[in-house]
Amino acid sequence: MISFSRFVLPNGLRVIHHYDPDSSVVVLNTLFNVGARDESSDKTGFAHLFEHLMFGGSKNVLSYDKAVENAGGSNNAFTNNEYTNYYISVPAENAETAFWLESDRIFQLNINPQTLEVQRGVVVEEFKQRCHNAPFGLLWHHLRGLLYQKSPYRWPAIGEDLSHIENAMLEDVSAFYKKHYHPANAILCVAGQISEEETRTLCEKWYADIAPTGEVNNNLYISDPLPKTRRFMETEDPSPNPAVFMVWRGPAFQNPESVALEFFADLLGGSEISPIYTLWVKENLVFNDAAAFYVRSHNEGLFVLYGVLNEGETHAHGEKCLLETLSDAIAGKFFTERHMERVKNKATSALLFEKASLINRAQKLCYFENIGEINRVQDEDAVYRNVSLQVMLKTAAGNINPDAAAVLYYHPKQSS
Amino acid sequence: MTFRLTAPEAKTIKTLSFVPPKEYTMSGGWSLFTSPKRDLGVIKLLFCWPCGTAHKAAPTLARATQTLRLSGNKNLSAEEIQEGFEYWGAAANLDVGLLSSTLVLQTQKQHLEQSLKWLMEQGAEPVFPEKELSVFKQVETASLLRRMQTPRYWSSRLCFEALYGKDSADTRFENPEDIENLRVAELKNWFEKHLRFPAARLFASGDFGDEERAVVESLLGTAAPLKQPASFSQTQNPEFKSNIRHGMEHAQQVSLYMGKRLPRLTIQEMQTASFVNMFLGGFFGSRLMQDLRETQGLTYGVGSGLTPSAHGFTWYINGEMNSQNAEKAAVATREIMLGLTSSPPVGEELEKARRYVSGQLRAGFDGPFSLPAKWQFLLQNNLPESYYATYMDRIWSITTDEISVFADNYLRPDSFTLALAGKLS
Repeated sequence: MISFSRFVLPNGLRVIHHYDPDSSVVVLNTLFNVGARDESSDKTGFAHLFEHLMFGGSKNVLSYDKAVENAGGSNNAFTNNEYTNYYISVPAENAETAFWLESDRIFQLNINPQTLEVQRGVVVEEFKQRCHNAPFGLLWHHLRGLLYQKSPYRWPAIGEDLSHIENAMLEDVSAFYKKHYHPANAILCVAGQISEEETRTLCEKWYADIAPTGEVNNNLYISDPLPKTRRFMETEDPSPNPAVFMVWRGPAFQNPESVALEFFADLLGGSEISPIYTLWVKENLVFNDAAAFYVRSHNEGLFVLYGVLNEGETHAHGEKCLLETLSDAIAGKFFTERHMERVKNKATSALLFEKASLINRAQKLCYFENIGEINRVQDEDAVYRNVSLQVMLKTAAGNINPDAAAVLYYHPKQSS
Repeated sequence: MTFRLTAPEAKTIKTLSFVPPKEYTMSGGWSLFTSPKRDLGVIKLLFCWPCGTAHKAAPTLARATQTLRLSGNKNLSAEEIQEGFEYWGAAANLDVGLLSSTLVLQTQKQHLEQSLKWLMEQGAEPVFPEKELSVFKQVETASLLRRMQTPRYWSSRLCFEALYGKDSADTRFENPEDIENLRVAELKNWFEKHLRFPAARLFASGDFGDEERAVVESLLGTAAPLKQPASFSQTQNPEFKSNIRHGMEHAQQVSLYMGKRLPRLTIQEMQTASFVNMFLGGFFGSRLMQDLRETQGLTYGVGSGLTPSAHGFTWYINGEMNSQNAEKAAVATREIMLGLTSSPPVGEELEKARRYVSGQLRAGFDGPFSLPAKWQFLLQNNLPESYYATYMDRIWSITTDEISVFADNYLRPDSFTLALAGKLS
């Protein structure tokens, strides 16, 4: 149970308070309802670039980071396809510093050519480090490109093309800020050793005067029809191992079917005792790594199945092995009531450990508020308990058509 | 709105506020350290053996033995043992560091008895089946070969090998043949000597009170003395190399790694080193991060740190950047190192670091699972319980002159080895 209270300021900012007397810190977690899906196709990676610019200081705060450090605090942020999340954690006695900092950068961020130039360089290096230097670093570019043709979900948060970031202009990022960074498009969670009364007082002082300047993001996007046939691409990668990746689109986070698919993926390939791993890594030595997982997200999820091939194995054989086991699993060959009890116990444990962290609780509250169902933060375990074996298999059969996978073959890059 | 012009007063943090773990000696002779109970529904039990990869020139044996300790016994297969944990929603996470091996049992409070009993019964007498070792070799070799494609891997490896020699206890880099040469008999022998359950320290945290302690006590059996291997393998003293270059055809960036060996330090020296490191590259406001990333935009991330070695510490600096910027970044890094002696932090810079580090030091004790790792660090390094409190005092008492002298003694750039790996221009 996560205890919380909620109120809305006249300018539209939604505030959630969560008290934790055992903590010595106060966390302010701010979720902006803007992510990579809100970018135009010729300016991808902007939500993430903007996340970097948010640390460049604001009208009344010359250096954001210096001010955080001066208060003994720490901060960070992340961007995904659906939202951008910032958090700051400070010693409880310095809570007001966090209110000052977070409100000022919503109120008037200092976007200037110098900050933009430096952060463009930083993000370009981040792109290279994550996508070009890491094995299978462009995986999500390829997979999303196979799944979507028109939808803005077809590129990952880091951006589709490095040149979009390299060419980002000041007027572009200023327009992005104006459109998306305003109180009504944000959710603030104040968590830790701070009372509700003090939270209300500080919110009133620091946030109430921010004008309601923009529209709430209506989150309407072009949707691609679900693929009905196999889609395929092959590419090279610096990784020395060839690999086969397969992905399907699935139901949204709010749909209980997404939990059923998460369970199905966990049982199919979520650990070293799953059929995918035991059959093809341990017994038949086709892969040296293989797994399945389901990414639950707001609009729709992604079901991923992959194997990294051993020397001498072909991609076609690898794909056949994965699909054969997937089909057997959907047909009910592997899983019993004991498996269901196991996967539910695992999910409950993961949930309890996740909730042990103050920052996780604050982020969870913001996430559920953003999807318009904050009270469901209390029901996650009940949703887990309601998934039966029959429902899980029926959901898998209804959502994962082995003949309609998006399939990606990786080949090791040949030396020139 | 003029109130926004002035920052709210930020108070300084000069004290720590945590309840230290309680140490219990249980009937079987085990020492159990417990954190204050928190009403969470979950528990972590940390078993720690004082023996890691540093105790063997090739680290692979220690790692393989710990990784495979739950991979089968006389009666049950790896899958059956793992299924027993997962059924209760529990997990037994295994890890090996330079100086210790650990097992963390994560479990719901309501399933503590079942999962711990399962661990003690099924993990007591591993047989290290040939099949499991064979799979381990296949998986680990592929994973190693993938890591070997990254510039970061080679810059750090070549730097460490230049500092300590290729076969040193401190050079924790494996080759595919080390993995291939593993034998079941060696794993059994290593387990027998160093990793048996009774010869571990035990830490409990989370929703753990008297009732749970009674459960643990009833299941643990009789303790055995902690077995630290007699000595580390010999550390070599290779001829000093100042510059190493390693070109990689497919890389898109260059990884910069600088390193230097430090001897064993006194407690006060350790605390000073740790604090001086903050100015170099220990946090976002450090000189490296501010100059290379925030001013010049040369890198996504650059940082420095102190990592324990078998005989002291290694001071390192690491970052990834565009190939045209690598030499520029190396020059800037050297200037920053020299600058800590010639223009050491004063005034606002010193005050800001003090405030940041003290705030983070206190925050490090926040959360239900923070204490075991901190106490394990003290015990492993024979440090007193007052270590963290005296570090807080040191943060606030250290002078600019002391920082300058320390940097002059330990941070001269010409005493560091620089390795650049990746797309060299």
